[in-house]
Amino acid sequence: MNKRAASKTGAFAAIRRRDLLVGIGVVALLAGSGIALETSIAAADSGAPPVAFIQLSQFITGADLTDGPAMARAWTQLSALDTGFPAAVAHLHSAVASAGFKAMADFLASPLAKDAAVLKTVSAITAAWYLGYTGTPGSLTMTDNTGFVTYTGALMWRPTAGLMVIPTYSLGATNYWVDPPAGTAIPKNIKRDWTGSTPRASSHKDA
Amino acid sequence: MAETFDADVIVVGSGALGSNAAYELAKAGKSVILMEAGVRIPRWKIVESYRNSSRRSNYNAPYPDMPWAHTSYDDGYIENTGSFDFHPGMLKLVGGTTWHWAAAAWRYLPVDMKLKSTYGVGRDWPIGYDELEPYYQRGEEALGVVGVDAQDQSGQNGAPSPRRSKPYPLPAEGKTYMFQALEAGLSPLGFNFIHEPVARVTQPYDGRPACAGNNNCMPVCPIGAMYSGDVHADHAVAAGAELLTDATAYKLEKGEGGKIIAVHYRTSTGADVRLTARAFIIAANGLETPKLLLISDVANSSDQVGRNLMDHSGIGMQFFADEPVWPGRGPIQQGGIFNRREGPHRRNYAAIKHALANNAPNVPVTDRLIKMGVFGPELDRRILEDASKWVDVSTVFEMLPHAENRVQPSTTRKDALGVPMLKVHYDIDDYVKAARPVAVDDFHTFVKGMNGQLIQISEGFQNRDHIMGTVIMGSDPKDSVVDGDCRTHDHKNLFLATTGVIPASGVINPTLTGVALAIRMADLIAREV
Repeated sequence: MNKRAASKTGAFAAIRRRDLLVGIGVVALLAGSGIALETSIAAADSGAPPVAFIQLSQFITGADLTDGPAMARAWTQLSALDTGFPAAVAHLHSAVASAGFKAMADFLASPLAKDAAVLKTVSAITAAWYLGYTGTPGSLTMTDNTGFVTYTGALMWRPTAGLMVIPTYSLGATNYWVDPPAGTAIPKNIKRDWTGSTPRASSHKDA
Repeated sequence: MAETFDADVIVVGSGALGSNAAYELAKAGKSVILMEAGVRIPRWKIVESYRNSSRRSNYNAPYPDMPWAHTSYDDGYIENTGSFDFHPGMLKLVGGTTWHWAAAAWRYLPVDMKLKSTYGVGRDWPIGYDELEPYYQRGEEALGVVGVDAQDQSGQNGAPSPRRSKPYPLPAEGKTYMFQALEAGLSPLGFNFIHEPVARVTQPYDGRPACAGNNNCMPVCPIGAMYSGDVHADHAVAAGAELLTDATAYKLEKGEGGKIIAVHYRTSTGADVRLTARAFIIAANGLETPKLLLISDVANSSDQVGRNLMDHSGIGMQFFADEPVWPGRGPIQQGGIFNRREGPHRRNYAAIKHALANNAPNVPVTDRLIKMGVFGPELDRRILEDASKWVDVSTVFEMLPHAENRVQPSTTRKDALGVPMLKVHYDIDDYVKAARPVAVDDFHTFVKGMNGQLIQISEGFQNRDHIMGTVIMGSDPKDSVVDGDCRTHDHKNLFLATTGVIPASGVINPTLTGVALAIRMADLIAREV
C-alpha cells in the first residue's frame, strides 16, 4: 500500500469498501458478457482490488472468481511485484472495453494480443488465477517472492476435475486408480496385476 | 553408592530411526528419554499449511522453520563449498523428515552390501544381508510396508529377490493405470518394471487408515496412511518413554573409560540442561549427527566423521506419451524401471534406478503453457491434454564414498541458540558422470517406446535427500566411525541411528535400512543396559 492510500481516513476507507462491494455485484452480473467502458475506472490507490482488475480477471479466465479475499490477495501481490501493474491493468481494461471484446477468443484474435506489454499483464493475471499463487517459486529455499492466492480455487484444476486428484483430496476409495477415466484408449497388452510385471527381458541392450 | 542416571538410554532425534529405537527400548522396560529439537505439530495443521502455501513444490514449506530448529532450506543453514548445491529436504519436528518421504521402503540386495569385493569399487558393509534380514522384517512390520513377494527387486527378471523370511506385512496397492500403460509400452523393449515396497498401508494398520490416493505423500499425507516417525514417537511415549521437545543437543560429554556420560541440550528460551544415561543414541539425521559429534569432539579418531557424504544424486526427464496415461491418480510414486540396479556395469559406472512419478502435473503443465503464451479456452484444453499424457521420470545414481565429500560445522554461522550451522562440500564423481549418458539413452528409448514427445531432460544433477556415509560403518576403526552394530568404535555406549552409517549406497531409498539397523541396535542396547 502506498503512503497516500495509507493516509486516508477511516470514513473514506469505509466508503471505498462499500464501493468495492457494489463493484463486485456489478461485475458478477457482467461476467461472461465482456467489459463495459464506464466501469474501467481504476481504484488502484485504495489497496482494494479495483473493478478493472476484477473484470479483467474474469474476462481473461472466463471464471466468475467470487472469492473476494483471493481477489484481494492477487491484486495486492501482483501490484507489489510490479509497481507498473495497476497502470497496466487500467490500460488493458480500457483497451478491452473500447474494443468491445465479448470473450477472450476475440482478444486473442486481435492485434492487441501481439503487444508484449499487454501479454505480460495477461500472463500475470492468468498465472495468479490458474496456478493459485503469484511470483516465482525459488528452489531449495524458504524465501522467495511468491504469494498465496487460492488452492482449490486455482483454475488449473478445472480441466482435470474428477479425472485427477487435487492433491490432499481423493477421487475415491483405495485402488480407485487401477482403472483409467472412461473413454481412455487402453493398450491390448495391459497387465493390471503385479504378477504381470517384470516379464522376461527380451531385447533391450545391457538389460 | 550406586551411580544414578537420568535415563537408561537417551535418544537424540525423534525421526523414524530414533523413535523406533526409543520404542523398542521402552518396550523392553528401559527408561528412555527421546529428545527433539523441534516441536510436535498435528497433521491437520501441516495439511492446512500446505494448502495455504504459495510454494507448492517445496516440501519443506508447510513445516515449522524456527531460528533454533531450521528446515534445511532455510537460507544460511547449509553453506556449500563444492561444485554441487547440496540441499536435501530435511525437517526438525517430532517425526522428522519421514513426514515427507513418500515412504519407499526398500531392502538392499546382498550384493549391494558387498560392492567392493564383488565389483572392486567403494566399500563393503561389515555385516551381511542375512544378519540384517530379520530386522528388515521387523522394520517392515513396524512401518506397515506393502509389497509384492514374488518380484526380483534387483530388476534382472530372475527369482524373487532379495530373500525374505516372511511375506510382506500387507499386500501391495493396485497398480495405477499410468504404471500399467508405461509397462505395456516399454516392457516389450526389455525394461523391467518393479513395484516399490512402501510404508503406505493398503488396509487399516496400527491406527492408520488405508491409502485413499490423495496424491500428496510429499509434502504431507493428509490422512496418515503413509508412515511417519511420529507414529513411533507416540508408541515410545505410550510405552513409557519421555519425549522432550524444544531440546537441541549441542554437546556430548566424555567421561572416563571412553564412555559418553551426558548430553547437553538448550531450549529456545535459553535454558541449558545436562542429562546423563547409560547409553546414548544419536539419531539426528545424516547431517546433524556428524555435526554433533564434531562439535563435541567425540567418535572421530578415524577422522571420518562427516566425510564420505553420499546422496543418490539424480537427474529427471519429462515427456508426453502419445495417449493419455493419467498421472495424478493414486499415490505419488509406485515403482519404476530397475534393469540397471544390478549388473557387471557397476565395475565401471553407477547403478541406476528410474522411478516413475505419479504426481498430479497441473502446476508444471500450466506454468509451461502460460510461459508458451497459451491463454483463454485453449489453455484449459491444453491443460487437460498435456496433463493426461505427462510422464515424469526421476532417476537416481549409486554413489561411492569419498573423504572429500563432507559435512562440517560452520565456522561462520550459528543458529539462534549459538550452535554452529552446516558447511558441505560435495562433488559428483566420474563413476556417476559415466552413468549419466546411459540413463539419458534410456530416456530417449522410453520416449520412443511410448511414441512420445520429449519435454526436457534436467541439466546437471539434483538432490534426492538420501543422506549416507557421514558416520560410515566399517570393521576397521581406522577408517570408519561405527561398527556393524552402529556402535561408535571410540565410545562403547554411543550408538548412531542414522542412514549416515551406510557405507555403500546402492540406488534404493535408505530409510527402511536405517530403521532395521536402529531396531537391531536397540535389541543390543537392551541386553547391555
